[in-house]
Amino acid sequence: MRRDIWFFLFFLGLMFFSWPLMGIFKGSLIPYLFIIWFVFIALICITAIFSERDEGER
Amino acid sequence: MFPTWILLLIIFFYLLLLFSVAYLAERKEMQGKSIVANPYIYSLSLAVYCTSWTFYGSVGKAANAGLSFLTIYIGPTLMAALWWIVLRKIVYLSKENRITTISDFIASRYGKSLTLSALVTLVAVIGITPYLGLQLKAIMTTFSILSGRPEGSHFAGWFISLMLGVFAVIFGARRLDASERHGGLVFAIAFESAIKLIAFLLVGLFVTYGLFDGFGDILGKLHVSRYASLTKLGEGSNVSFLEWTSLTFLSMMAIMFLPRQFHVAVVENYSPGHIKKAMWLFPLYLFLINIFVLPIAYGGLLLGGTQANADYFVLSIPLNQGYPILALIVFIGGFSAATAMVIVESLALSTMVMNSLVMPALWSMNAMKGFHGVILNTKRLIIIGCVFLGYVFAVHIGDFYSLVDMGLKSFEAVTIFAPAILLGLYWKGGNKKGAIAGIVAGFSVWIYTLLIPALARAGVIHKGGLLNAIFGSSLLNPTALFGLEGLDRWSHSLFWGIFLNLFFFVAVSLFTKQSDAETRQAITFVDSYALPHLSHPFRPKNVSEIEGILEQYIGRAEAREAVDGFLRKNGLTREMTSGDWLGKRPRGYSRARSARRSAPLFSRTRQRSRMTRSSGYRIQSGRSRRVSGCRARSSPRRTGSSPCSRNSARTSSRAFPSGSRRWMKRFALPTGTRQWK
Repeated sequence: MRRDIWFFLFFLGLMFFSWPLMGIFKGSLIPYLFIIWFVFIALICITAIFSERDEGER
Repeated sequence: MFPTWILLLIIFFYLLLLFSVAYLAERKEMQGKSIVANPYIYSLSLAVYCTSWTFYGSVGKAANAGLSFLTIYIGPTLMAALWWIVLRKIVYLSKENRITTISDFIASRYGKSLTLSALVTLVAVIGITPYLGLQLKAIMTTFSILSGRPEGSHFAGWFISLMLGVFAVIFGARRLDASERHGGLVFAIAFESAIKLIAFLLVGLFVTYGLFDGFGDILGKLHVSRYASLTKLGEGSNVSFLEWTSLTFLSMMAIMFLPRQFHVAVVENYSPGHIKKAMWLFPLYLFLINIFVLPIAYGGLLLGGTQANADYFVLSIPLNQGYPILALIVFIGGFSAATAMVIVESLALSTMVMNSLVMPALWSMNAMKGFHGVILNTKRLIIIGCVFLGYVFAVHIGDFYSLVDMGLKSFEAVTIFAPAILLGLYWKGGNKKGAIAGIVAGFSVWIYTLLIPALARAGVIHKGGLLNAIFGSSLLNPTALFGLEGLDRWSHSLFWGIFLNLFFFVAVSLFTKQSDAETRQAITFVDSYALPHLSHPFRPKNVSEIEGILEQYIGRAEAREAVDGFLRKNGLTREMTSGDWLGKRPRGYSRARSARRSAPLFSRTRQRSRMTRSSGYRIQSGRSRRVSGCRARSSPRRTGSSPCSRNSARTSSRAFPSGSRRWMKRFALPTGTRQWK
């Protein structure tokens, strides 16, 4: 399950940082890129913390 | 402007500080109180990825091509999401197989092939030289900007190259250690990462809030200027979505396969737990160091700077605005970014050259007394040679290219390793011939589509005659190979490189057979988490066998000397230890007496073991397991393709179960004479 989450995150990131999704936000591309970048890092962080907790419990 | 001698003095004191920091970390590690073995230092050391390209070149790229500079940092961020799957596996395999370089890793996967290892090393050295040159070019240029004397920059570059080479030698090749772990060096790199981040944030805050009224003000002014297209991508800008995708892919591969990244991420890794923290800490670092790139780039243009000089806006803006101290801080930040890269990269390359090219040539001399001294000094010379290779590139070719141009060439070069490594990790069918064919194809495309046009542009090779005919040809034009037009040069080279690399790798692998050794390694690598150990455990039976093993690492004379020393110290003779001596206690030896006699040796071993106590990996009976214990450094090390491991499969980590390790420890040698790597 955890392994799948990393793949899911990776492909989610790929989607967010590529065309055509970036094309939708072409009017405010700079804020879009930085906000999505930060959110993506936060998602990795949260997943890593939960994953560590999960492993600790096991 | 600063006088040259002041700048040289500042550089000298900065390097002295770096020495002190590294020395402190090494001392703490020797005392068993490592300050290096934690995820924060690990993450900061990974930031060796951010070189002077990041510090100066990103601003230049942003001022010339808008948002495309972000791809270099978004790629690694995306890749970080897969580290728990891919990087952890690479680290696991490397620890298990005693792999210390990327060339060893590839060679080990494909049957410990020395040919493959040498080929990877050759590609890496040629491919990374522009990147090393980039760093030294940045140092020389910023030095001449600050001193206002361009004529002295070459001497400064030469002097700084020498200093960096010496630093790399002191903390990377002071002794021979096959683990290739350098706690002091890693701590110094982490320290430099903090310095460059702070320096960049300072200048960013100064430009954004000191010279303008924040991000909104800069972007608002840019939108009504002639540089408005710099905030766009795709249509209406000079960066296509294809280029964006290609650069993102290149940087995803670079973060995994640049030799220095492999070194800090894999070789210097202490625990798998550190990877999990680094998965978000490292991208966070990238995010922070890039927050002010756009304000500085756009601010520089709005303040009247030109796009041609944008590479050095970070330095020239505070200098032109009358803030020399800030400019000096920026110079130190840029210097730290460049030095970290040069030191780690030269160290990683020298280990590759040593293992794959030099050692096979020197191996016939292994019986010579003082052999370890010869190889240690050779390694030191190679480190300094790598640094000066970069210096030569910076002086003779560097002037023709921007920092980003030079860096991207190296990114393309290391992407050549991607199919062999990634497919090798998950597909058992790949074999040595396929890997060689793929790498040769990829490297040929890299030379033809990137290096030859670059050298022609720099005037190193003259356009005319045959070369003119090739460039004018519709089929063989290096920038539009086989008539493929409309792509930027990075996408063009990447497409042909990856396409031919993959094609040859898969096709040759499918149509040729694997040797037994390749099959064994394929299973080991692909099923690394699933299989119990495959090889037969080897337990040395007598002193001669131990001497034979030691001989492969330290030379015949030293091995004999060490064994004789041990026997003398314990009142034993070779005759007494013949037969299956290690299987039983020698006659007349009570358990207590045996323990008492070997106590000093064991205590020495324990002392050394404390140095690696924080390691999260332990090799036992062919399986790496995370345990709270330690791993003694006195056990022999093996790399995938070293002549030692080639000459004797017995030296495999798998081949040394814990029992035989114990006996190896009894023959512990003084630090520095144990291994050649």
